[in-house]
Amino acid sequence: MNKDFKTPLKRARYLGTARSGTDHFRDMHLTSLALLPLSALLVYILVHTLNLNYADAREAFKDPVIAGGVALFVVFSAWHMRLGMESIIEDYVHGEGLKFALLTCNTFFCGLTAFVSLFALLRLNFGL
Amino acid sequence: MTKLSPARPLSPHLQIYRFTWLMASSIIHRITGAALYFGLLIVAGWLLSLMSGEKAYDVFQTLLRSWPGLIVLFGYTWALLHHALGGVRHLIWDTGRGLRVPQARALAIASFVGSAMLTLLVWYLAGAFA
Repeated sequence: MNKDFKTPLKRARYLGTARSGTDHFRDMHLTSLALLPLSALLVYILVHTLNLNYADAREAFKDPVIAGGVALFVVFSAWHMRLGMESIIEDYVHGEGLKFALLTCNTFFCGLTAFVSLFALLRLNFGL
Repeated sequence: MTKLSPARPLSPHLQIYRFTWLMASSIIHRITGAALYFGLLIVAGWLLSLMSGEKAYDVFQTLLRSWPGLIVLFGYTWALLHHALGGVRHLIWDTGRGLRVPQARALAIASFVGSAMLTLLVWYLAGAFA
């Protein structure tokens, strides 16, 4: 005899709470905290390097603080924005297929943008 | 979730609620976040163009300094600063402070004013190094 009166269909369809709200909250707030100094650093780097000529700009990236600072900004931004866009999609898109497709695209976009940026930073820092 | 049932009348919201500073700051926080999401492509494009050679870098710089490019860059700067100040508001709320409506409203107005001023400051400093 079942202890509870619910049908197993609920479990099979994975309905109910997502059980990951606290993780989401923690990740968002930690990445926000990290992004405060990192964004300031990025703005500082942009202000100082966007006006440089090609050779000087490339030289700048051999400095580990500049390359590392931009890299950290990219990683934490990608993490933060993936979670943020996920909330937006979950709030406004309700069709099952479209929601799944957009959530997947979200993860891929964030991952790919971060990967490409880090790859470029590595090459720039090594002078390749 | 299965497909939505045919359109049914919803209770009115945008038509009847008074538009407040807190409402505006909340939705602008989300909109700037979405703008920054796509804006990361500017950073990626910048790094890629640097990696790809002088010609690619010149193309990037030309695009960036065109009128639409400058507007996008200015918008990206403002969105970054405004979203960051909004984030600071949320972190203040995390500590339990500033949750009363007059305090929260003051924080919201401060983030609009602060981001506008900081954006102008950053662009002034960038121009000073040109």
